[in-house]
Amino acid sequence: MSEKKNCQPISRLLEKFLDGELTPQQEQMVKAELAECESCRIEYEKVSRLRALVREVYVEEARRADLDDLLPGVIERIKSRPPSLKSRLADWIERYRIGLASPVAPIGVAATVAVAIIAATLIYATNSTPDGAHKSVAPTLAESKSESGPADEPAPPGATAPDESALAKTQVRTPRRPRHEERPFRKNESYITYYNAKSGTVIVDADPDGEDPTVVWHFADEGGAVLEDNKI
Amino acid sequence: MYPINVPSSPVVKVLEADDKVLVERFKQGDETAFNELVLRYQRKVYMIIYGMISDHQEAKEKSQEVFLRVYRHLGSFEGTSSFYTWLYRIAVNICIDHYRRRKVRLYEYNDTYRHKPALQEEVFPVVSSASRETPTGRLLREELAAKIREAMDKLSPKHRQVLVLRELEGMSYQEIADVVDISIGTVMSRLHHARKKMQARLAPYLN
Repeated sequence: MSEKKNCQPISRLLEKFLDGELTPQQEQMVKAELAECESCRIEYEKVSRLRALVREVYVEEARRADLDDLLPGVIERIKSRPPSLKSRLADWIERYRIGLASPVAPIGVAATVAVAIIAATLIYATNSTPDGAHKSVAPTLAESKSESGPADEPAPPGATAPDESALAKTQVRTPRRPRHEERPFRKNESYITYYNAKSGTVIVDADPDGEDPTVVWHFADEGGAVLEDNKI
Repeated sequence: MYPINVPSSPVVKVLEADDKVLVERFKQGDETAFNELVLRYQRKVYMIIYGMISDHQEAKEKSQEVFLRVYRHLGSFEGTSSFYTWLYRIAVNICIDHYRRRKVRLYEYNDTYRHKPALQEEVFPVVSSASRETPTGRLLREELAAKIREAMDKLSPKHRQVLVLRELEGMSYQEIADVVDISIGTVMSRLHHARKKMQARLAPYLN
């Protein structure tokens, strides 16, 4: 066939033909074309020769390469590298399965860690407000009643102002009253919402719904004299 | 004269079946199964890697790395693809990693870095044996081999990997697509461009 023939369609199939990726019908078409068209044959020979040259260099060299030490090298590298955590865990499970290891120690450690985490979480949640601030460490009036008598009793005559350093430790930083949705306000329950150690002033809130504190209680004035209750 | 398509030959299917048995044996703790897999595939893996990086010593080192990864991950190999597809994918990825690491260095070295004298002194037995070859013929062949390596080294890693898998390993387009994780159309396109570039660089030796 003449070289002037348009061989574009068949040239696209030449590579696939060489790679064995054509259907039987396409193969027949290419074979017929190669038998007739010299330019197609030249193109085909170029691709074939390229493959032969590449294989000659790379395949033959790879075939002759000495790989006797490849597997021993792999085994050596496997042994020299520390096993991953996953493989160590799998190894431990396997050892336990065949009775070489006891599961008690790791389980005990894991349980201890878990309990510690839960306890820390609970403590943190108890001592913090929803906005993240810590709850006052000052006791509620109800709690203090059980320890030091009724809250509405005036301080005994001669009572002195509480020690400043001790009060400073219990000074309210973020006055807080529990909201109803958090916990219902119990009967006779009051909260110290302000505590100034210097002036000896304690503000107690016993009204869950009110805007203002119900009681302002002064332990003593600056001179140490006991003051009377000042109900608002 | 014409090629024969052998991607789904009975031999390949038998090998796949054997691979599955060996993988299962390894998963059950039989380390000798791993050794058998290495011995079965070491030459093919080596050939792919050597085709990608043209360096015997590095090809051997990278081949070991391939089987090291196989050893570590064979336990979690689910068998959704055939073992050799998975294995060749590891080999190709390691070569790509190698290219990435070497990318900067390549600008610092001249071309002789990639063609060590030791390689050029080797004998290629395809046309004729060394004993029957004249010194001139041998020199010409060594020069040709150097030119082929040079042309291969100038290919981009993406073009080179499909060419290696096709020409050296004889994989089908579908198998290459599975290994490299690209479409068959991309395989054909890359293969075509790789061949055209090789033809252009080796034109004097192809006519």
